[in-house]
Amino acid sequence: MIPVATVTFDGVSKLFPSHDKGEVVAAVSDLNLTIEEGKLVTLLGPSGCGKTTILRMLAGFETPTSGSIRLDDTDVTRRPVNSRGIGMVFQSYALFPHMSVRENVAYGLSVAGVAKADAGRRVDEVMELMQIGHYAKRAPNQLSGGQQQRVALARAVVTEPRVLLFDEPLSNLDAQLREQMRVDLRAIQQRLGITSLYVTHDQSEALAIADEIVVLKDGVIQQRGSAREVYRSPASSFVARFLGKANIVPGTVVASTAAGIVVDVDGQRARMTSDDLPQVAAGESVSCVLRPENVAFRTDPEGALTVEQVVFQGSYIEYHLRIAGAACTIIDHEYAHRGTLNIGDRLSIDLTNTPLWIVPADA
Amino acid sequence: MQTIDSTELGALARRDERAQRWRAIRTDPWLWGIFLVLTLSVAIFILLPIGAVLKSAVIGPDGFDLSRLGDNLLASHVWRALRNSLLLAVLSATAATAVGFVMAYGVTRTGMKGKRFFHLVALLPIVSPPFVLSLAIILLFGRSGVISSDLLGLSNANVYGLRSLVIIQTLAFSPLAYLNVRDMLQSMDSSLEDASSSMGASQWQTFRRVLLPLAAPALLSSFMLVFVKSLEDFGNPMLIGGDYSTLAVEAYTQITAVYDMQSGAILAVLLLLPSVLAFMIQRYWVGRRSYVTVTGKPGRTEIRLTAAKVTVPLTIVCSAISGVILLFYGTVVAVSFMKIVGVDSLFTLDHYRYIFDRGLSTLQNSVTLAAVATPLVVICGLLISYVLTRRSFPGSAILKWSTLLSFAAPGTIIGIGYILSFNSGPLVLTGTAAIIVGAMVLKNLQVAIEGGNNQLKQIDPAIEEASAVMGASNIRTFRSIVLPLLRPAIFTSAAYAFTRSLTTLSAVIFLISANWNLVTVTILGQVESSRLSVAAAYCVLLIVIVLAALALMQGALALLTRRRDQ
Repeated sequence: MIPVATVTFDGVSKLFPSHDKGEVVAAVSDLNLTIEEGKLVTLLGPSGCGKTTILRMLAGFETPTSGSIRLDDTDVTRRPVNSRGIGMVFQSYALFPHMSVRENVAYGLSVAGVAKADAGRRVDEVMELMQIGHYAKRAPNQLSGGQQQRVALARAVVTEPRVLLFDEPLSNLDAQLREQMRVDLRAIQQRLGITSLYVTHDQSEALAIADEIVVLKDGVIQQRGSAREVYRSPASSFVARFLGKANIVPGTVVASTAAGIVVDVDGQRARMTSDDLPQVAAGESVSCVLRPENVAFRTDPEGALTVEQVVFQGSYIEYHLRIAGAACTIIDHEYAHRGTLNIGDRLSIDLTNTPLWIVPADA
Repeated sequence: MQTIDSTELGALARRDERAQRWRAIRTDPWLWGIFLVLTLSVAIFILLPIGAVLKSAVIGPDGFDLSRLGDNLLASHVWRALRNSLLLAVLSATAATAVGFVMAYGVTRTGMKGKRFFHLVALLPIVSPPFVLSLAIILLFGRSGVISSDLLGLSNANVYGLRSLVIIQTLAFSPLAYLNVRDMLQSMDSSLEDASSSMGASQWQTFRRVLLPLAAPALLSSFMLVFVKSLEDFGNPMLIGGDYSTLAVEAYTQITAVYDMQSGAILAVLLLLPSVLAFMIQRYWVGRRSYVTVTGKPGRTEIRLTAAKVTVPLTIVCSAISGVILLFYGTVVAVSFMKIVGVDSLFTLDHYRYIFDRGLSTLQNSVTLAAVATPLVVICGLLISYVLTRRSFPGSAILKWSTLLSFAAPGTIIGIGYILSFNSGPLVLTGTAAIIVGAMVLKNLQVAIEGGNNQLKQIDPAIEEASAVMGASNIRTFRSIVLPLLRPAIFTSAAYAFTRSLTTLSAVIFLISANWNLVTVTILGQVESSRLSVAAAYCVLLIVIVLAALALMQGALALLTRRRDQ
């Protein structure tokens, strides 16, 4: 096992002066985050949310305006990039175009002054692991995107870094390869057990790969937790919408007890259950998250809802409609048996067994 | 991102940014040292001399003397020279841009035959000293010229003056326009033409309303570049200007014949102003209006124009232009092997023998000094380019603007500035080889910088970051990653610097000495004393040396690339 590190961000902020005098952009504000040894944490958020800045501060390309970054107990906040012992996979792969695949992988060991024989053995091992051994002599531009990706990962791990950084590593691959690669990436990361920070704006990638997801917006953590937690119990409508499809509908609290909260949504009763229920009182208006796949519905000529748009997605069908005035989507995986609806068709929904989640109303 | 409107935070962020700059120095002490040395050299060899000329323009032998400045500015010969220079520059720039555009258009966007040939001929003037063409026009159209006297029987043909100058400069500087416009037309996606014709436009309408407006910035930029080159040109106006005096020649005369340094300085300043202005327009105004971003990869260009009504006239025009260029160079080559031009056309090596007997010292000097200047240009240029694009050291602006100034400033002002600055004082260089090398390096530095910039633009910064993350020091990254990737830029700037240094005249004419005379000055002397055949032989030797050097560099590049592949 490689000796890996626990990463700690302690009150880290990064300000950039903007071009207008006196204005400042806070790319990251007061970030506190720990990545436990061997875990893979993804930073997820829209562009400009500060995720890349966080990654670059850990790599050493940027220096925090305030706060500190530690690897185990060592403060590395101001340590130069080249003495941090970090591996990184770049969005563009950043393979050295004038070196062969093998030379690319061997570069880090050569820089570290590892003896030739030892280096050769380690390069062979890693190339074997990544299944890139048979194109060792090729130039990077002779490889496909997926192969380049493997070389980039091999190059990043061969030096046995204490932390591995991924900067949107799969965004240049086509959809199918991306899904394959994220399984492979995760398998290799788990096998090597390297503490990893993974930046992405693709929620399905984050859900599939992470031990823990950190959702960011405007340089501030919105929520952190396992993929399931973040998906099922979003802390805000932003998080709900950013992870998968979410319907945010207005509702009125009917009853609030320790066992659960009953909410009236569009004349139906739905229930929220959790160990950590929000403090709401009966009669209060709330915003509720309904995941499209959880809304049960049936065709009903007398139904209150009208299909406004039909989107065929192959394995399922999306119906766009309005629930309590809010634009909503519901999806049907069983359309092959049940038949499809058309625009203008009426239906009714049943929220009795739909898991419901209350989020704070948008400011 | 959060935008916070607070002066206190703003101060914090700016302090942070400043701190980061100082940290850049701490992590890169070597690069910082190099940066300091470069900035200091640039200040000594660019700012100091130009400052000296400006100072000397207002300070006469009796101290601060604005009246002399006034007298000079009102003097008729100064006005005439200024007017002449500007008129010549405008005419040459217009004609050279037109020639460059026609050739570039034919070569890049039509199905014209013989493109490779036209391309090579269009570039021919680059590898020769510009005044070879002047020599050719004298040989062809002069008093005893091959065409004027032998073919037409004119006994008193006058080749000297504006008309010849425009022709010569047009041919000499058209490669600049050709390359500039060609780059632009090559990177223009042919789907734009397709889009236009899909909307029903005729080929003429597409040309006029799509291609021409898109090419306009490149045309304007070519105009400005040739304008600056024409103003700077010394050799051609000296040789065939006759009574048509220009600023560069007038300044030289004032200093070397009349010994009036102040007048010379004033003329040089008058030369500097329009040059810098044109250069700034080219760089900042035209540059911003460019629609096509040159990515280094040629766009998807497919040939759409193959109709004979387009290609035939274009072929005729391109052939005519090429014919003239080849005629001019051919004449010089032929004459160098003829006994007495116009009288006895028998083949002879006498003129070459004369040169070898008389000694090759000036030719050797030129080659030696150019060979010393070339690596300096490449190393300094690429380092400056790297520092300016990849690091933000405090004070980079001085470096950036000084090198731009060195490119825009005509050789005349650099030459005069060097005399003024390095004749006395702490750094006496007059009469040494160093002062000539200094001028050669400075005049070519900017081209190497631009070459480096263009190459670096194509290198993803993440590639350097990847090296750093893997533990490489900045020196190691530069050596193992950046330098190998800059190789194409190294070779192009070396080729340019060597060619230009070997054929330069306008700055070094002020700096030569008994010990260090140059071949271009020798050629000028031979023409002035009417030994045209000897001058022609010198020119041929010079062109052969340039071509050999280019071939050598090309070969070295190919060899290095091949070794890489193995």
